[in-house]
Amino acid sequence: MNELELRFVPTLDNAQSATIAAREIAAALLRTAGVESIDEHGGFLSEVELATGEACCNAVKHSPEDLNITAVVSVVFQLHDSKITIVVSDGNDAFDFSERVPDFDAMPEDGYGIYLMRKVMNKVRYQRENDRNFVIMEKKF
Amino acid sequence: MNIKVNDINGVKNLILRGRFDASAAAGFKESIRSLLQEGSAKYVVDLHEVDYIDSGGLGSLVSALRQTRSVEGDIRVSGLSGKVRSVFELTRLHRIFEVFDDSLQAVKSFNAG
Repeated sequence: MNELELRFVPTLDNAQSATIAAREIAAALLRTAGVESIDEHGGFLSEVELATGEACCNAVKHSPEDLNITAVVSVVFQLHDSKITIVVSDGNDAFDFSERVPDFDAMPEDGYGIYLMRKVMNKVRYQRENDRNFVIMEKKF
Repeated sequence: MNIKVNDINGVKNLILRGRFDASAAAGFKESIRSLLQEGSAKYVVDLHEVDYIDSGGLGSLVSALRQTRSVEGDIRVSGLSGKVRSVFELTRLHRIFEVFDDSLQAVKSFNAG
């Protein structure tokens, strides 16, 4: 199994950089897995980018204003036989990751992030361990 | 994200370029807020040069739409690329916003109505 880790101090600018990097890392892992035509996997990469971006922004949104080492966000990419697993973890307080569908007709201004992660990835789960939040996402290619 | 504003027949055409994500959301909301203060209420948000949108971008669009509709105005969107259209459809925002292929069609729709 190939594994790469990205770590960043939780600011929106860093979350944006991590999101852009996520697409590139996912493409590199596909090449490692023997995928020859990366262009044909543009949809896969866009969805990985979106889900990772949502998880990273969520971690930034819930981070304390007084940044410290425990606030660092970690993004781990793992390549398995035919899927990529992405684990985004942070040291924030626990948050509600329940499977709610926004009431779209009510025009909510937030609440789209977790919904989008669940829509574009094959599997998304949340766990709390050692005072850290872990969002674990899987996508087959 | 870069925002350029044109006036076409009394309709403010906002051309967005780059990534419309959480870090761009505040700037977009501020642009709409200052245009609303100037008295503008008809907007076209042209997304043809936006290659990425996330929940932060979507939320700021919905926030701007709520503010604009509260003064009897509207925001119409145009130029959705495949990726952006897909996110609009997943979140059903294509049913909340009127969506047009290009800005000129969107501007004309205001003038027709």
